[in-house]
Amino acid sequence: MVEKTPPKSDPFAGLKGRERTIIFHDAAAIGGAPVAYVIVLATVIAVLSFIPFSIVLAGGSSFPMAQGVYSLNGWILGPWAGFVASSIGATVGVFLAPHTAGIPWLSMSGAGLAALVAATLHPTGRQRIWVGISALILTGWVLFYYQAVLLNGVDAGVFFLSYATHLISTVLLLSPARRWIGRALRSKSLKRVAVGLFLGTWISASLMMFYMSWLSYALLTWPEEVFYIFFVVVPLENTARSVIGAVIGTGVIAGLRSMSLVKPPHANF
Amino acid sequence: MSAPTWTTATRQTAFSALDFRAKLAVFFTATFAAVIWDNPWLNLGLAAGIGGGCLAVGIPGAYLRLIAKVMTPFFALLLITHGFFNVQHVQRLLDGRDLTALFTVPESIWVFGGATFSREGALFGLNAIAKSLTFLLLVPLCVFTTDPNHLVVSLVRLKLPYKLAFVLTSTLRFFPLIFEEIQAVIRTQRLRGFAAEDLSPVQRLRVYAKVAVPVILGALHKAQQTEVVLQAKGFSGSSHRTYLYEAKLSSLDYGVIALTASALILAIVIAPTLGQFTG
Amino acid sequence: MPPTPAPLVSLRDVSYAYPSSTAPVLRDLSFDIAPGEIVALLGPSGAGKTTLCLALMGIVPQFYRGRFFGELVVDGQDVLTEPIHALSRSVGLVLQDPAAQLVTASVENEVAFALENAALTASEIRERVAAALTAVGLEALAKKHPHELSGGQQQRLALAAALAQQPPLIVLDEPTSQLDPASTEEVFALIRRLNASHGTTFLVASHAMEEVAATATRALVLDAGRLAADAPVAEVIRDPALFPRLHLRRPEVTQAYAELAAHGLWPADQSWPCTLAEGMAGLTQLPPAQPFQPAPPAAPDRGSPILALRDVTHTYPDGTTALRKINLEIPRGEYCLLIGENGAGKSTLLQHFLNLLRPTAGDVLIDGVSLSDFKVAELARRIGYVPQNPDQQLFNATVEDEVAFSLQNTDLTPDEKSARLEQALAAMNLEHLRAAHPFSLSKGDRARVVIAAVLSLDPEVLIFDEPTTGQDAAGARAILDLTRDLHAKGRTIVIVTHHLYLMPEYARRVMVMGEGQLLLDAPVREAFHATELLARTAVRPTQAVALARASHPQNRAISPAEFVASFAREEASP
Repeated sequence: MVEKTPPKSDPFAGLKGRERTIIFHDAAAIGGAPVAYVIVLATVIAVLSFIPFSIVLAGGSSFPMAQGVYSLNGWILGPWAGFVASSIGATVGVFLAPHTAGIPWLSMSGAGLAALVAATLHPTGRQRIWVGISALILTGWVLFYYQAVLLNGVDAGVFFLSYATHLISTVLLLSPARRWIGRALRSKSLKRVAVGLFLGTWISASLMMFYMSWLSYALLTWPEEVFYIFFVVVPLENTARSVIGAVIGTGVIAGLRSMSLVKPPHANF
Repeated sequence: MSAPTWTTATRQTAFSALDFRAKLAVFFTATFAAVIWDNPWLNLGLAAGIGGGCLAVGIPGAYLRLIAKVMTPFFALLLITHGFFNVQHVQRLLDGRDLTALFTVPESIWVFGGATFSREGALFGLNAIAKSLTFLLLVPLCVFTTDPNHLVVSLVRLKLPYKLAFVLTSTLRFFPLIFEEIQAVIRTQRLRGFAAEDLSPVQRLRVYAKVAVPVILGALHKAQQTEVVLQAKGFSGSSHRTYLYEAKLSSLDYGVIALTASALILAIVIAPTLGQFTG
Repeated sequence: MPPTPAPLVSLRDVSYAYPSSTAPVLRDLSFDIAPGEIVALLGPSGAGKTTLCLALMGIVPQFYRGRFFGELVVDGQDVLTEPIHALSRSVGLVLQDPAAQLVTASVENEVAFALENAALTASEIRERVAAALTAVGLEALAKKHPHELSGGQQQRLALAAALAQQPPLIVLDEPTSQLDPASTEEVFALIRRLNASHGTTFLVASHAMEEVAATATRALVLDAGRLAADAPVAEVIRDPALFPRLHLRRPEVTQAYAELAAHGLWPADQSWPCTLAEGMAGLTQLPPAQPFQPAPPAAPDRGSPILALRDVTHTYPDGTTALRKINLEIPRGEYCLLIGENGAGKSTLLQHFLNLLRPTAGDVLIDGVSLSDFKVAELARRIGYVPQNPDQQLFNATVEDEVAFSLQNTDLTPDEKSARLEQALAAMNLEHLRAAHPFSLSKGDRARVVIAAVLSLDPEVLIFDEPTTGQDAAGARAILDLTRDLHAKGRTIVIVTHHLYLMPEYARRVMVMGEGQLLLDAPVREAFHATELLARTAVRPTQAVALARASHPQNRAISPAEFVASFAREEASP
């Protein structure tokens, strides 16, 4: 005869009150994420806008650490909540220190775009948002090429070489790689998460800079000689942003997985 | 380093008293004009007007000097770049005519030897500088003259969802708090034996990046409590609510909006002729 | 006979478990709260006080989900069927952290926020905002950003925001745990005043027993989620078994009279005083006190001071002079307190010890060498700093990485680093948590991780900044016992604290700061009895000191036990 192991006592057995059904009546959310989460992550972006990340290059270059973190909001909060957090965070950064922002409204919208691009790097592909962003980026390439190469005489080779980083990112965005990156972010292996974050930040930060470059050129233009500088600066800066995104993002995702916080429904980590 | 704070214009003027919506109309019109105009004199005039406006409303002199300090190297670079190197594009705009050389760099100078600084290129550079200045100065003009606590209502009256306007003002609330936290983390790293100045750039990158992680996690931890607080104060994100400050457009606000609408039309009308780059 | 008014709050067999809990954190709670009561909610950390506070607003369980049992009705509304925003009109909430509960960018907007959400008219909002700010004494600060307010002012603002909604019930969850004694007194005085003037019902969860005893009329005591007691507050405090069993701390005056009773010096049929006023009145029934002035223990000769400040002045760029010609020496192996109100210059002084700030004039020395010869990171190996908020000090993915972080930049061998790591983990009982993410731990465990991280560098001097803030009595004692162990092993200890009543058995020396000056640097007994000087710095003398001074002009007792000893039949040594 097999002895039965005595059942573990149910800690809820013997409670006097009747169990109740719980319905949450209030839902103050933006894009599904609790409003307070959007507020604090917008604040983090605003604060990191004042922390310079300097790497010494031939010409010297500096950008705020926030640029490596815009994308993270897209993964933590979801597409629209991430868009709001990053763009409002950048907006507050502009309001507090307009002189740091370049063309202010480009910085504000670029930050939101980075979060949105990051959010499309998802196992499901997030088709509708992805189609919109792809259309925007492809339109940007066409108009930028037209203005720089066809109208202003910049050599086509120089144009594409100087923005090779952004070209690669565009190809990756349009390819199935974006779903792989989305899956990597959910991996239990933090190494895989880090790789996903590096590539994801590479793509989203790069396309953000492309968007800002395209519109800046449309407004201000610059001669072909300036494009030469971008050969080196663009890939180096994007690498730095991607490393920041990977290091910070891995730390944050590892922490979030350990904390028992209410997870936004559209988060991808 | 103390947390950056909302800079406020020092004078109470008629412009400061305008509703933010009227100021946004000014912002939009001036930005649009700067975008569509390519005449350096018109753009310089516009930038000077905005700059004069900043002085008139009392944007702190220290702030304007900071802008000058930060932007001068960039503007100098713009001028040099366009003056020396922007040849083909400028010539195309001038129907192929030769550019007027102002001076030529001696051949013996490394890299730049033989390069010619053209008048038309310099003017084009000035055009770019003027546009940048306009985009930049419009922000303090319109934002520093506005009480941040009144922003919410004005934005809501513009049909921006209340939740988004609230995120903006709440971010201003939490900014000094989280700024202090990041300072505390940087301080702690030093107190745990980390001398950032002794590290290689790659090591420094890793340490800098680590500063953001506890700040973000701490912020999200705090967010849960903030969410509780919002619930406790009856916040449901609904637009069915009232406001302490009622943003009513005065006759002056309407007047300014009408004026800027007219200015916008004028800007569009003159753009094809007066607004072109003619060297 | 007039009918009894319906209770404002009614719980019947309420139990609750969070989604991640394996067992209920509230268990079979049943009690009522009548309108106009001030009820204290007591219990050790983890007993369920915060959960109960949140349940009264429906936040538990609506926001947190989990499992809920029983009936909880507040102001006639079932907390499970009404939306939280509707319940918020009946219940105001004030939480522990002043900064995290203020969500707008100005004082008046903060008070107006909930009223705007409730869609009151603008004129009514303005009226209520003005009334609420006046009630808490902040009317002059209406346009200020909350960040510009002190901690005490921020809590008063949170109270004003709750008050403006005119709810019948206001719940305060440890509202003074992060405040200095003067601000704590202000907050509790406000509670009493608002209860008297507005008839508002209050439920206050707190460890500030002296204030609770003087304010609440009734106490609910939770123990592991169950209701261990529900009685008048004096009765609960006087229960001979309850507080010791739950490791809760009684007010010092009650501790003193309990011990007097145990020694047969207080009549057995008389209840123990719970407030200072009662204690003072009770002195007339005690035998005459004796002078009590034991000689301070001789300071061992440990050679030159380890830390010294010579004419240190510090003026910030905005012109504020935070330190004025400070001269002090901390001998090696000393255990000293640094006290003073907020703004006295304590933080600035600490930053000079740590080399985070350089003096505008004068010099700071370690072992006779100027600190300006050291980098901050180098000094960290000699002076360890444990700050107040552990969450700002954690930036690694595991406890082990966190503790080992400091060792990376040292020139120790790998074996030595490993040994130091293990020692530090063992000292703080963290070996079993080494793989855990620091943010997944409780607040108390996170604090221990930070201490372990500092200890790994084996510094000679340890500075603890408000180590007992937010801790219950048992938690505070555990941390202070650790500091005593470290002191016994030869470390020099500096503690910044507001909780003087905890310190008599630990500290030997006290430095009192006020307005940037060192007002007093004396043995602990002398400092605790320098009541006029302490009053200038808004530091309140402990109840034991007040009783001692009232009992005999030469009674220098500084703890309840010493106070009792001053009534011993043998004359105390002069």
